[in-house]
Amino acid sequence: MGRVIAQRLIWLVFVLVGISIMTFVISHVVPADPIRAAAGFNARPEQIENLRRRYGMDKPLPQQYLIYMSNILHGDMGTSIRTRRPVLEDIRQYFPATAELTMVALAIMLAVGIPFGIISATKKDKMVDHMSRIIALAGVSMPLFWLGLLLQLAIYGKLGWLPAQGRLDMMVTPPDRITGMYIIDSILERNWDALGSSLQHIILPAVTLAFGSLAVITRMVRSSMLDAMGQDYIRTSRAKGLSERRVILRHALKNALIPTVTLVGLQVGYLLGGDFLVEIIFSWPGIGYYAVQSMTTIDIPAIMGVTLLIASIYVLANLVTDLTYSFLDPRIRLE
Amino acid sequence: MSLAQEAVPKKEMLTRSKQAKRVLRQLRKSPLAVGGISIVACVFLVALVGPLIAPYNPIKVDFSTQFLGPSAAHWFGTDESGRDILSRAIYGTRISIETAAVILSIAVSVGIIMGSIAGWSSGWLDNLVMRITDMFLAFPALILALAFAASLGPGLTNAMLAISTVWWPWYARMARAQVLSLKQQLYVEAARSIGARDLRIIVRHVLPNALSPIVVMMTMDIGFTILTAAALSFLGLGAQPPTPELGAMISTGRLYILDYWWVPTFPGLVIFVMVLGTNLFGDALRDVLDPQQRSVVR
Repeated sequence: MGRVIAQRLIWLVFVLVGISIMTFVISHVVPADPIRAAAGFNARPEQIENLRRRYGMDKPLPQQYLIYMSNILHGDMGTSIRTRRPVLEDIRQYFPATAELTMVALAIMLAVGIPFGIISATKKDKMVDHMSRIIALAGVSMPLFWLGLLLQLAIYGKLGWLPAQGRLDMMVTPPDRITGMYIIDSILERNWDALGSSLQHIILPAVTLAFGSLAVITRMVRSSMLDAMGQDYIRTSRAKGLSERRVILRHALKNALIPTVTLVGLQVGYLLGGDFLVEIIFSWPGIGYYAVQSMTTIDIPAIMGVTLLIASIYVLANLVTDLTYSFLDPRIRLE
Repeated sequence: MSLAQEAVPKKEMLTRSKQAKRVLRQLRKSPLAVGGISIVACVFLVALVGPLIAPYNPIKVDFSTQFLGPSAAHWFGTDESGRDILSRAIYGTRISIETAAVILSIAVSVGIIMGSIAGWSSGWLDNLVMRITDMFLAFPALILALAFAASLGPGLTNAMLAISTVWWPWYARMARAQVLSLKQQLYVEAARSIGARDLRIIVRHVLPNALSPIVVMMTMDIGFTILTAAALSFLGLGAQPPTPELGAMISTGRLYILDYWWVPTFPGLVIFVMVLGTNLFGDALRDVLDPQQRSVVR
């Protein structure tokens, strides 16, 4: 087990180096000049040169890359050209909001997706099953950002049930920063106003984010449930007179969840991509929001920082998935 | 996957036209497939004759017709610059289809070339190509495309380039697997024994037989590429206003969602219908051509 983890971590380093080289090369060979853009219209040539030197962009490309990587190893991801603050500090500020949103979306995805999958499987080819297939197909065919807008229009605009922007009401004082995740922080501080408000604010973005993956999970649980239900041990447990409920929940579901776990790991990547869109629509001040602002201003250090951060999370999420997988199913040995 | 490959030789016995007829016959039997094909056909038709049927000029600004709701004169209403949203959406479908076509052609050709090289050569070259694809696949595609697009600078061409860059590894993988299995076939050996050159064997004997899973994957990818390109434009990294690109239209329209709901709603609906159609079609085609491959949702 230890060897597998070590191998994966080494692989992570390779992925990060590969991704960083690609992003670095692409961003430095294109005609767009971030320094000129940052310096403003009226900058004199020597000002631009100064700025270029400050960001180390006057050196040859391979050397720039090596400097960048050695800085990262020292915990310095460079300075954002747009916010003029260290990228690491920016990430620290924006990331908790994204982590919170993604985890709530993941929870919604599992809490709704697994029961729906079970129901679809037990009622195969009935109305419920057809409905879940249609919703699933709609889920993968719908632009996430459009769904978010429709929810804003309906739930906030027409019905007024839930807020549609930001993380908290303007009237509510945010909890002191412990984890940066408002739900957890407000519970820790027993700040119930902040808790209520942050829960209300997170529902719409989290539901939007979860919707596409929800569909995929439902169908996955359904098909692996159907596989499991056809097995001999299900017939045996029915034959020995177990209640249907027990057969489904204890015997079929437990085995059906194994392939679903792999899918969850992959969906984390999808959710992180979705964060970029959802955070823009719901003005959610997370890493996606930060990244998109940086992208439209060609803020290379920030773009590189966020890209590397997300690559790490994704590779780690898949590692955790694989470990869970072998834990759930002792027949699988990771090698 | 391996099951799908075993099915290949049987298919080879059918002639091409017979196979096409069989595919059509089976597709006709499924109502979802017929629905999907009809939607795809309509969208293609609209995109093709777009300029002829669009009732208004898609980019001409006229503030006297600003924010008109849906009506007989403007079915989808008008936007913040008084432009007819239906006309813009018609041009938008055209752009979406062109974008998907460009991305997939680049991704598929690069993928097939790299995959064939890897599968045919094996050894270190194979290893190198596969490790490169691993690297791409170890990353959420949308975010990598965003990072590339951002590094290249905003614009539709750059967005297409960025998406193609993250899309080809999937095809390289699939092409490699196909080439690897077909390489062992008797007819390939026969071709080699009569002295055919590698390139000729690959192009004439291997690739034609490797195509059906690649075609299935392509049809299922049309929807995803349309969504990804729209997402990039929505974030301001793809097509720029006033281009009537659907994602960009939603991006500007989202500011008015609460007061003038139709401005972002209809462009989104058009994307939705378009992608739904291609997904239905892709699912059905997969059932017929390559039953072992997993569906988008099933």
